[in-house]
Amino acid sequence: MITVTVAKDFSRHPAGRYLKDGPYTGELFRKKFLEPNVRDHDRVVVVLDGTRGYGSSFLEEAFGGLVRAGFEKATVLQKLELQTSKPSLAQEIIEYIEDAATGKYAAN
Amino acid sequence: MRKLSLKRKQYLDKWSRVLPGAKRKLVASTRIRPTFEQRHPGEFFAPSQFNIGNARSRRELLRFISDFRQCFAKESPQAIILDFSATEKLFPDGTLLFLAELRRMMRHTKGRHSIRCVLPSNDKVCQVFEQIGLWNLLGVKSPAVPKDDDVVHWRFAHGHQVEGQRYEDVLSDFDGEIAPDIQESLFKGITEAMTNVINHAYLLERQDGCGLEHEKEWWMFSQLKDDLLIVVFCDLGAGIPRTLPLQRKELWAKLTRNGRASDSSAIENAVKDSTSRTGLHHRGKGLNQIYSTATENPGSEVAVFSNFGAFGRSKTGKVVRINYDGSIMGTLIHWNIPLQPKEQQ
Repeated sequence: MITVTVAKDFSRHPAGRYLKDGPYTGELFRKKFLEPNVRDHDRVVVVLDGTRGYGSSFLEEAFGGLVRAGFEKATVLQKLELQTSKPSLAQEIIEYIEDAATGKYAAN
Repeated sequence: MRKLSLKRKQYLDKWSRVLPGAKRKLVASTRIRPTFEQRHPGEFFAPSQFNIGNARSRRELLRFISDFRQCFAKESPQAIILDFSATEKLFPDGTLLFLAELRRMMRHTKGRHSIRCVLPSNDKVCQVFEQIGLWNLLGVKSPAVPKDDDVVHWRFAHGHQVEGQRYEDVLSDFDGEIAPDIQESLFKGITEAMTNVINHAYLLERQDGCGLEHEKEWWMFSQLKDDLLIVVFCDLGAGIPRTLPLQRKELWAKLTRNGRASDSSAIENAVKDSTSRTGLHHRGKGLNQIYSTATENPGSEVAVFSNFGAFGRSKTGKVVRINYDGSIMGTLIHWNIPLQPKEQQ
């Protein structure tokens, strides 16, 4: 098991979708923390509290992007453990993963 | 025949020298008034109010901006005078638009023109211009020290990327005064606005006649006044009504099925189309997340101005749609969020 604390390991200000957008984007977080850890570990705990917030572009690209990058939806949902004081945030992320699997993704 | 006064004679002499021969007779025989720019080339008078919400003030501000922008765009060096003597009231939206336009033109012209200012007679306006860095930008020695409560809380930020950390530049001072949920909601709204700027706003050339290269820029203000937090964010891109046909072709086809769509209608539909299919607001995508920053916080207001239109929500929840006769040539988002007194948090 590995734990990734977004605010500590990545940034307190995660924002943006693609690498070109800025310094702490969803694509960067996925490539740096999610893809290697989901590939190499049985369980990946992502601690979401402690940041200023999460825009939908960041979340969709980071978590929905895992499925588009070739990871099975079931594997992603099984391995990821989302720790947050806001249940709606975890639910939002799960829906991005499910939507990406059914091809419902559309960039905003 | 009536004798010409000395003043009239001097005026006609001047214009007969300026205009080509064929027009001299016309000038001498008719009462042609030279345009303002002909009488005062390079001198531009700022309006009394910097405001884009009121139709009349907006018209005057856009005229002022358009006039100095055309002068700045000239290849040959110009002696430009910006006269703020009549400026009495600064609203965050109009002030941000003005500052964004001026900074953009000054960066592109790289010191080619000489710029002088006629200072505002209003002390508060002087203070705000100092607080937002305008005097520094124009190389004017500061005529006032920001001291008033409603001035010292103006904050300004500018960027070229989605930089969440810039949130701190304008809003970290209010930590402890803004409820955590509102802060989070604002962070989402602001960073989604930045994401829209970088990915969508500058897809097309700006139709301002200046022919300048694209730079994906955004500008932002915050102001705290009477327990009301005001945040404005703008870009000088193509505007939602122009990018919508490229970005959401089906929506645009539906919108224009019965004729041309107004800009306010284009903005409204762009916001609504961003709402999630499930209708859950936490699923809202970019533009909707910007809008819902207000809808999630009771008593808040939001307005999205883009080109000729505006779409928003009043503090009572009433939907507002307005179409103006002048375009801001870009997009400006304005949030008003009431803060609870500290003891209630």
